[in-house]
Amino acid sequence: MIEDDSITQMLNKMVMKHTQFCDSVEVVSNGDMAIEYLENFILNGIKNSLKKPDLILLDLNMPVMDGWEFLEMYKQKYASHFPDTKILILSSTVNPKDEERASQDPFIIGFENKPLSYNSTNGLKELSFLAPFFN
Amino acid sequence: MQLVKRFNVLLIEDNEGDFILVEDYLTAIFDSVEITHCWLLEEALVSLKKNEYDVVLLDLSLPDSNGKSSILEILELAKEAPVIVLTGRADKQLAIDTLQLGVEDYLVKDEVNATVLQKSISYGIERNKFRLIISNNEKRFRSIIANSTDGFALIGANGNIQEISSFGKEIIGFNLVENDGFFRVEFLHPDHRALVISTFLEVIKKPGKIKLLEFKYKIPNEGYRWLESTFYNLLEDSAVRAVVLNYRDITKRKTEEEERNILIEELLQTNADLKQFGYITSHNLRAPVTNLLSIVDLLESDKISDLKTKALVDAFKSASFQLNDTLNDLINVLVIREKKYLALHKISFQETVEKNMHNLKELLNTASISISTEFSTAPSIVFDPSYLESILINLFTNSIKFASPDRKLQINITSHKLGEDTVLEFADNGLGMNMKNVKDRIFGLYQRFHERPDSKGIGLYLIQSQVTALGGKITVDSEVDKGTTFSITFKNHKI
Repeated sequence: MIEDDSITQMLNKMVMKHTQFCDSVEVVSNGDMAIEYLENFILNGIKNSLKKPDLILLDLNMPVMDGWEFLEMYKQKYASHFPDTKILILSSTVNPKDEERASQDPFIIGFENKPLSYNSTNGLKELSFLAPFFN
Repeated sequence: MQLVKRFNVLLIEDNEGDFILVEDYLTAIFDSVEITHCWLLEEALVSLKKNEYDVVLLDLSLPDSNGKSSILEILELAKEAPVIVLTGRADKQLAIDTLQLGVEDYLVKDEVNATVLQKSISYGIERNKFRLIISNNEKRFRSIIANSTDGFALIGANGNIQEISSFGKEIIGFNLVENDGFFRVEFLHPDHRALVISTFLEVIKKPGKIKLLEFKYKIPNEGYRWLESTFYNLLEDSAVRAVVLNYRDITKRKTEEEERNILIEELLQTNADLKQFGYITSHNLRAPVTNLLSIVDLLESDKISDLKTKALVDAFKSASFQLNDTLNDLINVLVIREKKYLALHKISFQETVEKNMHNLKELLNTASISISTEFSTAPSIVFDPSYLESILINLFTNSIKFASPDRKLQINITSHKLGEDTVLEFADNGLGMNMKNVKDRIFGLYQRFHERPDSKGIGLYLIQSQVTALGGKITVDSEVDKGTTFSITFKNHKI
C-alpha cells in the first residue's frame, strides 16, 4: 500500500483484515519509498525474507513522488521483475482526467475510491485478476 | 440610312469640284444633312471648337495642312465624331499612316461614290460608339480603382511594378523617385520575406491562380505595416499580363488580434489554474471526509452503552454524511464542466424512476407521498444514465423538502415528444415559489428560495448543468402554495 495519510492507512488495513482480503500488508508513505522497497526486494528479497507483492495499492496525490510518477518509473525499471504484480489505484482524486488515464493504462487493473470499504473490498475480489486468490 | 435627326457634317476640302461631288453624295445619302464647308484647316479648327459634328471628312492635301500634327489637332477637337480622311492617290501612304493616329477610315477620291461614302460613314459612327463605350467603361473601372481604399498594383513576372493605384502608393509609402520600378523585396519583414516570395513564385507558375497572404511591409520613416494582399495571376490574360495585387492595411486589426490573443491566453491560463485549484481543494477536502465516512461506517454505535455518547456519535455520523453530500455536489459541478465524453445510452424513464424510488426508499417513506407516472408516448431517451439519475434524485429531494405541510405530497412525472425532442415534466403540489421573485435566478449557484436548514442552493444548478451539458434545457413554472413543475427538454441524441 503506497499511501501517505496515516488514517487512511489504518482504515484500509482494518477493512482488509475484516474482509480477509490479504495475508499481509506492507505500507509505504510515498512513491519514493515504494521504489526503495522494490529495489531492496530485487537485491536482498530472499535473504531478508521480503514478500513479493501480488497487488500494489497506489494513491495518486502524495508528497515527494506521486502516484503517476511512481507508475512511470515502475514501468521503466521494475515491471519486468514483477510480472505477476497488479496495480490498483486507490485515490480520492476528483479530476476526471485521472480516471481516464487509469482506464487507458494496461498496468492498472482498477480504480477505487479511498479509503477501502467492506463493499468496495469485496467487489475487488471479483476482479478477474484477483478472483483466483479467493477461490 | 434613315436618320430623323439632322446629320451634321464638317467637310474640309479646298478643291471646289471635289466639294460639290461629296456634297452631292451626302445629300443623296441623308434625308436631312447640314454640311459645314471649310476650305482651310485653320477654319476647320475654329468650327470644331464651336460646334459638334456627327462626322468630319478631311482632305489631306490642304494648303495649310502640315501632315500628322494637324490631323492630331483635328482628332483632338472632333471629340466623339469619327474623322474620315479623303485623299488623292499621291498621299495614300500618309492616309494609311493616319489610321494609327485614330482616323476612322481613308477614302481615295477617285474611288469614292455614294455607296462607298455611306458605308464608311456608318461604319465609322458605329465603331466610334463602341470605342466610346469601351473607353467609358475603362474610365469607370479606373475611377473605382483610383477611389478604392484598397491598393491595386500590377506586377510583372520579374517583379517590376507596371501600375499602382494612388491609394496603393499611399498604403506602402511608394515613392517614384526612390523606387526603381520594382517590388521591393527588402521591405518585406525578414520573417515574411521567404513566404511572400515563395507564394509569388507559386502563383506565377499557374495562370488564374489566386492566393491571399498577410505579411509585414516596411514603410519608409514609419516602420512595419501589416498588409493583407491577394496575388492573382493574370499573366496569360492578354488584357492584363500581370500579377494583380489587391492589398489593404490591416495593422489595426492585427494589433487588436494580437492583444485579444494575449488576453485569451491569459484567461485560459487563469481558468485552468482555477480549475486545478478546484480539484486540489476538493481532493484535499475529500480525503479526510472519505476517512470520516469510513470511520462512521466502521463505528458500531450499537455497542455504545452510554446514551449521551451514542447520541453524539449518531450526530457525528449524520454531520459526516451531510458534509460528504455537500462536497460531492460541489465536485459534481466541477466535473460536469470538465467532462467531455459523456456516456450516451438509451434509458427508460420508468426504470430509472423505479430505481430512484428504490434508492430513495428511506426518504420517500418518511413522508406520505403518492407518485404517478405516464411515459407511454415517450418512454425513453438517449442520455447519460448517471446524469438522469442525479437529475431525478435532485427533483425528488426538492419536492420532498418543499412539500406543503397541509396536504399529502403528490408527484406526477410524465413525458411527451416535442418534435424531435423529448420533454420530461416533473410536477408536485408542494409549497411552490413566487415566480416574480425567482425567474432567472432559480438555476443559479447558491440561490435559495426557502428558509430551510437542508437547502443548499446547489441542486437545481446541478440539474441545469447536467441538462445543458447534453444540449437540453430546463424551465420551471410555479405558484405559491399550489406546486412546482419542472420541464426538461432532452435533445434527440443518436447512439
